[in-house]
Amino acid sequence: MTQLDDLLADASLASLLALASAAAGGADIGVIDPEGRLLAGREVRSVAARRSPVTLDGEVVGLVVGEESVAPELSVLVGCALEMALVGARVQAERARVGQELAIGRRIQAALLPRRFPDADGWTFAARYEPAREVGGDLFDVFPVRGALDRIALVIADVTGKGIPAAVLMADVKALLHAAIDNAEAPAEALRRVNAVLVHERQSPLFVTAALLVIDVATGLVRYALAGHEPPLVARRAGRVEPLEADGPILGAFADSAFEERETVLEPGDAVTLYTDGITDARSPARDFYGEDRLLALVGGACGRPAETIAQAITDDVTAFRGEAEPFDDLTLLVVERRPA
Amino acid sequence: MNTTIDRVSPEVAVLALDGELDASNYRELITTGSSLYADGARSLILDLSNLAYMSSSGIVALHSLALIFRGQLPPDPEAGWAAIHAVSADTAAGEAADQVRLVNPTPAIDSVLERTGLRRILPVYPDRNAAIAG
Repeated sequence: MTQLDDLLADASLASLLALASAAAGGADIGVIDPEGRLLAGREVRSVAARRSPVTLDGEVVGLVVGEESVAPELSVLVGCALEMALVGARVQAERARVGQELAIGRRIQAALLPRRFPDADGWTFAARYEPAREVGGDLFDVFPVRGALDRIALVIADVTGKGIPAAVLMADVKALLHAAIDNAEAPAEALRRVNAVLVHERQSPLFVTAALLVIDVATGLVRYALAGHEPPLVARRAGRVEPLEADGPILGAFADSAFEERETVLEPGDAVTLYTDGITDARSPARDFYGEDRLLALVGGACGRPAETIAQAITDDVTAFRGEAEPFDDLTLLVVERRPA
Repeated sequence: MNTTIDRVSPEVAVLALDGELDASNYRELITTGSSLYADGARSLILDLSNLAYMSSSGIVALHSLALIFRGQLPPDPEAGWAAIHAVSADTAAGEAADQVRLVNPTPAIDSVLERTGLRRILPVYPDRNAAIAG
């Protein structure tokens, strides 16, 4: 079995050998494997036969054998054509493999997204998730803490990586965060626990950025912590935008990470937008970045609007900015709104 | 992205990055750093003056370079769960951790370094001479 076997079913190999044979005045030309087994063309038994090696990565994978009357250049030419076909077949197989891996990764990601939002009294949620073709690894989640609807956790996260490894880590991180939020009293402590598990127990070289908010449904008190993630944006009903800043490094990179925890209160009519860098790093056809300033201005203009309106406005603006350019990174948005009284 | 190597001494290499560091080229940067380390360099100065953009893959590359220049095994960023984890890559051990130094990042890149926590393991200097002097 050699790499050449994969080409045998290809009709163009037979035509190539037939053409070469015709060019050599009907002389016999064939291809054999390194053990001498005939793979294609006609067998040449002459001791004076011309032999030209077919190599791939410096290894002889076959020989072009021609009768004495075949010009040496011609058998070399046939060998070259076979080498080019082998390299081409390999590139194609690699592309198919990468495409398949990305597709599996996307399926895992899609399966991780919440199917519905919790039915929290007075609160509305909206989300957008648009996976990129090449790069993946975004996640969002909304769930009641310990299954009770008095507190709702919001998570958005971005794994630095793509394909199956990123999707598997994402599934892992989602479960770890969910368990940590249910068991730790505070978001910062939940991030600290997840970081410790990723650093000490997991065999992944990838990192995760995350923003974690826990909302008290009755009072609107929000406790939050960040791990190297873009600050969520609060749109106050009065028309002001406030980034929710908090210190905390990426998850999975540093053994001794500490995370700052902060609080804010969402009044009726206020909304918070969580997003990943797929939004701010979106590029126009002229290669400009969408950027944080443009997002701040847009969210500022949407103060007092419902969650769904804000999510759609951002999606529309990023899509318009991007024009025909293919999205390079996942585009993920999660908006929560405390409904006006 | 273009890289220019300036070997100021057998132990010190300055690597200037020009363009954009992202998923398409971050592994090359890790490879370049690995070869400099294998060639005897023990201090790496990354001049970011002309680096216009750095995606999250750039974070992986910088973190990997910090590990490589501490003599720890280079992680393979795409080997997934089979790879060696980049554990304890911080100053917790109490030793000086400035084998890799950064020069003059743009404000946007500097804020990513700050936000992700990378500045804790990669000190930032205003210019090359200050970085070489340490």
